Amino acid sequence: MREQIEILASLQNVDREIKEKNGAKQLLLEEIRKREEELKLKRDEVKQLRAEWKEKDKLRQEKEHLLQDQGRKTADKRMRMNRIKNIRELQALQHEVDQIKQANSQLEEEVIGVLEDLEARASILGQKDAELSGLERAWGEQKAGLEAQAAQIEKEVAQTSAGRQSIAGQLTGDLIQRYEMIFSRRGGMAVVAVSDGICQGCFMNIPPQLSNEIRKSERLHLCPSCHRILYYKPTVSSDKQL
Amino acid sequence: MVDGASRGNPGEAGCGAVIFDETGKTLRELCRYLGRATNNVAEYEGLLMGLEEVLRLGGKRLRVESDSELLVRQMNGLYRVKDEKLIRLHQKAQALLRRLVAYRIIHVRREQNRIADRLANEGIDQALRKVPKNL
Repeated sequence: MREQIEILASLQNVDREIKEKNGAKQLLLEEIRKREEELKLKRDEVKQLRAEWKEKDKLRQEKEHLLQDQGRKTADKRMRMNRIKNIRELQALQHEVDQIKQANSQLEEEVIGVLEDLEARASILGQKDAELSGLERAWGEQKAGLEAQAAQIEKEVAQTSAGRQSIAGQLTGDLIQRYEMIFSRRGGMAVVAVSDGICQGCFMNIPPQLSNEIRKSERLHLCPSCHRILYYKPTVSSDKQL
Repeated sequence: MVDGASRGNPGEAGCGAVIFDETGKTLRELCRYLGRATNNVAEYEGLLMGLEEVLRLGGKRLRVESDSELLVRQMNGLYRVKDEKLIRLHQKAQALLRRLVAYRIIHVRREQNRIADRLANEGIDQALRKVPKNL
């Protein structure tokens, strides 16, 4: 049994290494995901600004067309005025022309307002677009680096896992099953020493009788408190320290 | 080619102008910091800066390119100028243009005006770099 527990302890070291590496890889993948998300938000922002600009530009074009139409109408009416002899008709037509001019004046104000708005938006869009391009360029380089690191870790985990197989092959199925269950439940620490009668997993006292049994290593013993697999670890005696 | 930039509108503003000869060779690249100004004021200041330099160089015939539709249409008399400050700048520009033999003011797309845009932003960046960071 002592030998089995020693093998379990070796297996635990390998499993902890795999767990640590997988944790590091997860952090890298999480970082990549987070940055991609941030970049997507920026892209969406630029897309939204562009759509709003297009919408405003469409409005500008509509108003300008209207202004042009009104301008043509005014010109037509002015030409008619030259042909009219009747003073009342002339006055009526003049009134219409004045009304159109007033409407045009208002329309021109609106067009100017829209143009000013468009230019301000174009300026912001230009800035955001340039920022996004910069971010995408920088991220492209960084992402490649992070992905390479994650791939390297994956390769190392694969190699370590291959080594694990050969260690696990020396243990019985039941023992591995029990070990793996404790490993997953106890944060990657399934096999712990008993030192000075204290479980080094949960630091609770081990009953002296149990401590003796553990020392003999004839069978598998679990901590009564945390249920980890226990093995005896001799402490340096006070005589030897002196 | 002329341009104005305002970060905030109104905000920190600058203007830029690049002057080419008839063969396309760059004669001058100019930029200036304007302090706090609107986008439109910055565009007009860019135009004025360019015109003043062209006249200093003895230019007689000129094609002005700007990505500001408003500036181009106002300078071509298609829209009126209502803002008081812009009226003064507009009148100044008209006075400078009258000293030329011939000119055209045309609108170009933003992408075609990158040099002037860069210069306008440089005008702002240079001024901001001079401000001590602890202020």
